[in-house]
Amino acid sequence: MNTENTILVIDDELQIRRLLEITLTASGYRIINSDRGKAGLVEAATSNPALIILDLGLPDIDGQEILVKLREWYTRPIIILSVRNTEAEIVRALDNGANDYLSKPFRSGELLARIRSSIRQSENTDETRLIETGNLTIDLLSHVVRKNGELLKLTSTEFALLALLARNEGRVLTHHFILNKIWGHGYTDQTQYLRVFIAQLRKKVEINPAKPTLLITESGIGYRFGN
Amino acid sequence: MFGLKRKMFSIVGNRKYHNIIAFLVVLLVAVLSSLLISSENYRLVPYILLFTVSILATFMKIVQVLIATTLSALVWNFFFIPPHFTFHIEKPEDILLFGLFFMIALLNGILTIRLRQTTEMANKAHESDKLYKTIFNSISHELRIPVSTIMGASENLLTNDYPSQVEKELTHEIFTASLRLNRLIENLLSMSRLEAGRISPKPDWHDINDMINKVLKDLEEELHGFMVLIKVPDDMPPVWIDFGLMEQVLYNLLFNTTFHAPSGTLISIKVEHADNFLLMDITDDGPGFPADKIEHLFDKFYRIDQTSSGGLGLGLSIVKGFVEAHQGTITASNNENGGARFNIRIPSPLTQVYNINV
Repeated sequence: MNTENTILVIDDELQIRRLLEITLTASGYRIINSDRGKAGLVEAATSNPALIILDLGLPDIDGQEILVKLREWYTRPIIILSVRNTEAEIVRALDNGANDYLSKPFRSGELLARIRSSIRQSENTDETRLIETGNLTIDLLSHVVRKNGELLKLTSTEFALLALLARNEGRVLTHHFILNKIWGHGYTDQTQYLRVFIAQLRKKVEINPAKPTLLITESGIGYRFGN
Repeated sequence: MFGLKRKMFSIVGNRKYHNIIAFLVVLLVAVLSSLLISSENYRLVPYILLFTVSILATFMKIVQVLIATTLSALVWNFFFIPPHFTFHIEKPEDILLFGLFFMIALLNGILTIRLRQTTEMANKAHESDKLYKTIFNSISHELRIPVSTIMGASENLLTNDYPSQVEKELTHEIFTASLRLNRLIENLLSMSRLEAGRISPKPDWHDINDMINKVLKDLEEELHGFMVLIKVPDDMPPVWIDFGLMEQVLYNLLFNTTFHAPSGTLISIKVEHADNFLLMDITDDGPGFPADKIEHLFDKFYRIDQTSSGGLGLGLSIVKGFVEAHQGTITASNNENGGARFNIRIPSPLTQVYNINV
């Protein structure tokens, strides 16, 4: 069976499942539904879908727990779709291995974009040497960044930050994750470092630093590289 | 003259002076009585004092009434009951009169206070009942309008075959109604969190541009037709705020403007950091506020135009609550050119990490 366009939806609300089925089927995906966590885990193992949409508030097992269980073996994208929208809950889900999150009520267009981006990213696993997006090219090996063909002068920290985000294009990286990767373990609470460096970086790579399109802020959560 | 009158009222209205007032009034009445009533008619004096205590009891607390009662009994005894200028009482019927006076004055005082309290409570219950009804009517109205739209439009779509243009329009109505419902729910939740005292900001360092961009994106549709001017200094440092709360502050302020000001209005958002404060100035060149309404703008369930539909009157009280949760202040005023102006000040220290080049 071709599982490449199959999406598993684990959500206990019938109306949400129906809405997702209509929207996603119209966009060419095949939908499998589960209204419980345990059934969802079994379904994931038997059908190995290309992507899982997971609700956090399920009646039998907590969604965060399902996420952890899934991540023991499931390597493809998981998107959280939940009414729980506190920053703490979202950050926890991302730390537990979710690729993305959307809070309910959500916009269908936004969900489809996130699904496409997550799937594209998961297929693109081999380390690319050159990242090209819009008018920006990032050469990961030679540490050369060009905007409209012009060489940009980046400090080593700025480059590391840009490369980390660009390598995970479309994916939200939490503050904690970025700080740990770039500055190290002792700096994971220093969001002010991030604010300052992202602002500096935006002035160099964005066309309009006041309206960034590449280094996108996910408020209270982290950053996402867009294009 | 008026100034003096106002001052008198404020002293009488102020609880902290009540002990002194009780004291002075009783002494004054006693002095007047000693001047006007001949000493053989000293048995008339307690009636005058009794009357005085009753008056005091209509607006004072039990402690002051007790002070006034005791003092008038002592004054009467000391100055009026023979032998004068002693606490000794000669005649047995005067002793009886003295005891009765004390008891009656006290009972009278307490009963007056009780009566007053009962009336006040009844009034309060009546007022809160009225407020509850107003809120309830307002909420059900605000819920019913979008729900009616959704029901009507979707039923039409289900039962009729419309041209695709009409279908689009109906679907758009459903979408708009759902956004309105969502906003209502957000505001009701915020208000109940504020009421329950459960708003404790979790500040972190944020780029104010991020917050402004987020709000402008969320309000993209509503701001269509408005001009928005943003002024943030190039070297604006990160600010120490709760992003979610401040985002809702700006959202509510801008949404209000789109609601009350005509299309084409210029909205300007000016941000600064000075002396460890984040300063935000949100102004527009729309019609501004009616001058007599400004002081009520931030009141709960207050709406400038009570008759027109739209909103519960919660937006600005949430704004104020969230700003104050940051230990900040917000003021509303009219610009010289007539538009509305909101001024926000929030304490925000200057970060130590700044303009690093590594």
